[in-house]
Amino acid sequence: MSDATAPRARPVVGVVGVVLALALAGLGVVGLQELGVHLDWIGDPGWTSAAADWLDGARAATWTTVAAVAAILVGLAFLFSALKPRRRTHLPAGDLDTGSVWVSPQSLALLAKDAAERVPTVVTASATGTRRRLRVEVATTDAASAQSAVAAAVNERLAGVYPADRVVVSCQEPSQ
Amino acid sequence: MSRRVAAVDRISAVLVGLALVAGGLLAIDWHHQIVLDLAQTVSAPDLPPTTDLEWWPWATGGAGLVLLLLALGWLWGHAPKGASPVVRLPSHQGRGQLSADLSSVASAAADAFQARAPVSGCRGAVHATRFGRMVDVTGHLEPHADLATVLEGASQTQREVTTAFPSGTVSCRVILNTPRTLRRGDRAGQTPRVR
Repeated sequence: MSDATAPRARPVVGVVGVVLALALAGLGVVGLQELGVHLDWIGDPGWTSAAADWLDGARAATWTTVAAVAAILVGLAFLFSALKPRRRTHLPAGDLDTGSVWVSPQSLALLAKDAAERVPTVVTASATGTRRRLRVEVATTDAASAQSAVAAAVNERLAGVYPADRVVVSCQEPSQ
Repeated sequence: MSRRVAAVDRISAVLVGLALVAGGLLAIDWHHQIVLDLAQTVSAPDLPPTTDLEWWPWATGGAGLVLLLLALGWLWGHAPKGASPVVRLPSHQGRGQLSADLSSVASAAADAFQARAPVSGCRGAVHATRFGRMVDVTGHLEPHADLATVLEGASQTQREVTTAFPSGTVSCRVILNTPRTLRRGDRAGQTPRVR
């Protein structure tokens, strides 16, 4: 089964890309504004001229440090997003030559819950799943026997898709 | 989003990130005089007169237009777009041209999969991969579903798609999700077994 076909979450860096594209568009508008002022389409002073006037003679102050810390934090966030690989969202299922089948952990949690609910002593069941761990919580009238019975039922239901050692079952007997 | 746009995003994020970190450190040092002995006041007496020159607004205007067009192209690259659904088929006699609409193949594959497996809301889509086109069939797994039945249905559907395109340029991927009523973050359950 090809790893290249694994479904993945949208890259975080895509959001950064959109932000940078919008910033680039903003810079473009600043440049065009200066031309607009020169052609008397806009009455206000040009922004680049105003920025040049402000820059000549600018002094370091407290705001400089505040802005610098903000810039460093944003820069680190950009670097983190650029280096973060796209998260896998699904687990492989089956072993097919003709293609690939991928199941979300939440779907498997749904099946696990259904399997747990079919165990005779189970009153209620709930399940949550990630790619690394599947947790099944049941309320049962007999916690001692339900633990292994639920684990067996869940593992049988998810056989070949989710490793049995990653399934965690916890049982509780309702308080009288 | 294409691989090229993703690469542009990543490279830009690294470059801008490094520039922001470097600029931030420089600005802190400028204010606190820790490493470099930078002047506390910026002196650029030639800058304001430059903005009064005749060519300045035309230069900024031209650069602004280029930047704006680049930005719009970049944003357009982030718009969700599927691959072209039409694929050319090899002609045995070397005459004419055969092409197939993969979107209808994807739709038919989704219907076929839903008919033979305990899944709902199946949809088909076409994506481009490094190796050709991929028909994506996405469906919602029913809570009572038997995985073996689902996998057999998926296998059969994939065989039908790949058999239809023996050149091997079209593959099929089946993705199974949770029903819409139980999205991520919700617990799959806590429903009383007997109400």
